[in-house]
Amino acid sequence: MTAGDHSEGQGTDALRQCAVGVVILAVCAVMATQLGKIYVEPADSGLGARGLPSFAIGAGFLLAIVQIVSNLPAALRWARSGAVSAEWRGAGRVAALVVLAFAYIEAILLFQYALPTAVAMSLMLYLFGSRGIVRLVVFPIVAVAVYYFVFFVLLGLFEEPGSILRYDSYSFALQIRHMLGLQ
Amino acid sequence: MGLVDGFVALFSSWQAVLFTIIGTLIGLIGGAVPGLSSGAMISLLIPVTYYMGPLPALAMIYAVSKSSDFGGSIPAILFNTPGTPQASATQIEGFPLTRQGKQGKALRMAVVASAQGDVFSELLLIFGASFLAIYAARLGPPEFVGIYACAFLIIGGLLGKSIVTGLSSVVLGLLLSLVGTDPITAGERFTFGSFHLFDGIGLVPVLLGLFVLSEVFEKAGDTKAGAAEEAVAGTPTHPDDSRLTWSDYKRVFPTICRSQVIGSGVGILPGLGSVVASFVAYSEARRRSKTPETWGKGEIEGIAAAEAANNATSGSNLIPLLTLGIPGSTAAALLSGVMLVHGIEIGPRVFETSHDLVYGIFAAGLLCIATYFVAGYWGAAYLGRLIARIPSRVVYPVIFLTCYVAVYSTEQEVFDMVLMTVFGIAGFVMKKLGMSPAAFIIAFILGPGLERALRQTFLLSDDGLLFFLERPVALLFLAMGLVALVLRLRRSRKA
Repeated sequence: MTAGDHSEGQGTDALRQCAVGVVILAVCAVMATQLGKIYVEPADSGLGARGLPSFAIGAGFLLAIVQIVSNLPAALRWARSGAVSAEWRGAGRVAALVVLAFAYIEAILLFQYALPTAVAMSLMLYLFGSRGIVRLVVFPIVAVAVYYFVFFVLLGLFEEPGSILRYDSYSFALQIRHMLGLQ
Repeated sequence: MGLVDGFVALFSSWQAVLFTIIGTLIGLIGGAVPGLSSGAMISLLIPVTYYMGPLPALAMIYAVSKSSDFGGSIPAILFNTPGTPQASATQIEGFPLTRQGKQGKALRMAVVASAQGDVFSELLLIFGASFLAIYAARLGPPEFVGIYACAFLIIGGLLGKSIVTGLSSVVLGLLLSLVGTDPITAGERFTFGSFHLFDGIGLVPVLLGLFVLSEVFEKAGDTKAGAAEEAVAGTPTHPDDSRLTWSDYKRVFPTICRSQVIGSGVGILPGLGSVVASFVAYSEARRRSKTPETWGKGEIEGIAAAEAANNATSGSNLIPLLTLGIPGSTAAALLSGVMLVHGIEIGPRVFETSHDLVYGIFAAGLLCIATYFVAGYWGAAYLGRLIARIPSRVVYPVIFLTCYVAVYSTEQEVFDMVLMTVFGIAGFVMKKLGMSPAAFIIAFILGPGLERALRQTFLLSDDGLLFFLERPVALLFLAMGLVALVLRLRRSRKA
């Protein structure tokens, strides 16, 4: 390991530790706003309802401050050097996946389970490098059919009704269950 | 007698036997798929356990955790890519043997050492846990506060990239475990007015998000990910190259025995885990070897040491869970999650309240070892070839969408899908920042227990924290946690 590698490692580490500190600080600050809303019984004895939450928030604040204070100078030096951009390689694909995940959930609320799942599967396969009609069209349809059979027919789940596209899949699943001799 | 009861409980339920075998095979295959951790596999299976009885559910989950430890060694030996992190030590000696055409011998050595280490560890669990539980059952709330604090300090100190990030993971887990309603006043707490959070944050969305979805996010963002190394296996030149001979086994037997003791010892300590065990045992075997020059070039003794130690952690790391209610590893934390889902009390009284169930799990552990021994001894090479044909570009999308339908199946709430996605992102960020999802989940699971013990302690006496001075056992555990933290601090300063 060269001296450059070593300082690169230290710089990345300091930046990460600072980021952890900021995350913990943010979570604790949000939780602290709710602390006063915890109901305390007037005759409560012992530790009380706010005891452990207060301790956890306090410990979080303390750890966050220790991390930020002890790593901030090195992290700032490292951030100014411009080498941070390498850390963000691949972030675009992760962001696309996060958007896809939330869009998929929203689509289930609008169109029920089957259609959004087939589309999401196709997009996911594309995102992970699959190409071709078989992989992007046929495979998602087969996968949805398998999911549908296992979870909605065999395990008897109810589909969340869609607000735009709504259909009764439970009666259909029930018929298949009867055909298979299930209750 | 307990073990006999366990076998009776196991074999009187065909579902328990079937799901033990299915769990073993899933663990074997899943462990052999590089990038898919045993935590992810178990998390994916937890929603399925909602539809099963307690014994089949726990037997399956336990079998997955055990067999995946061995499964990870298959691609490590055949393709120079460890299926699980704990197989990294096996890879050092395993892949050179494949290059020499001795992959059959290497795989058989791995399965024999794994099974022997696992049996030793399982017996230690069976006889040690019930013995320790008798003493643990006498402990009161202040002692449990000491034990929880000790576990938090050790796990936080060891599992993060640094002590502070590890402890931050613990604090975050503890804080989020408090979301819901107060156990005594029933007043709402950290719910932000959402009725979805009145019963707290569900365990299944957290597990699936942290351990499965985060891996998919990680894979999506991994620009360096390459395929497993091209098959460059040599051709066997002698019939003995493909089999494990009696003289091979006799030569490595002392190493296996020593490594299984190391593995079991490491497994009992919360937070260390099988990666540490396999590298400690490998280094120790190399240090003691009379032919150190052969190491790194395909020394079968190295595989034996790493695999025996690696699998010897799987039984012993349940000892703190079953005696004190403290899960010391991710697999134990996930198993305790399944126990909670099925309403099983975790801790020393479990031997009284769920005697047949606990021994049934132990019996399932032994059945699992026998199953993966048979499957691994004669089928590992075929399994390796099968795994090599599964494209990861299809596996991860399937896992991603299975998570969503699986989490929906538990409570039939779309909110759980949102929660799981949030925890998936959180898990991805945590790993990127060097925080520990394992420390987080252990604190998340233990949080309610700590609060119960703490509030009971404060109700027992008006002396507040001074009451702990009257309880030497509680102080002892607290001191153990602090000592572990100081030792880690000193070691990291030296490094």
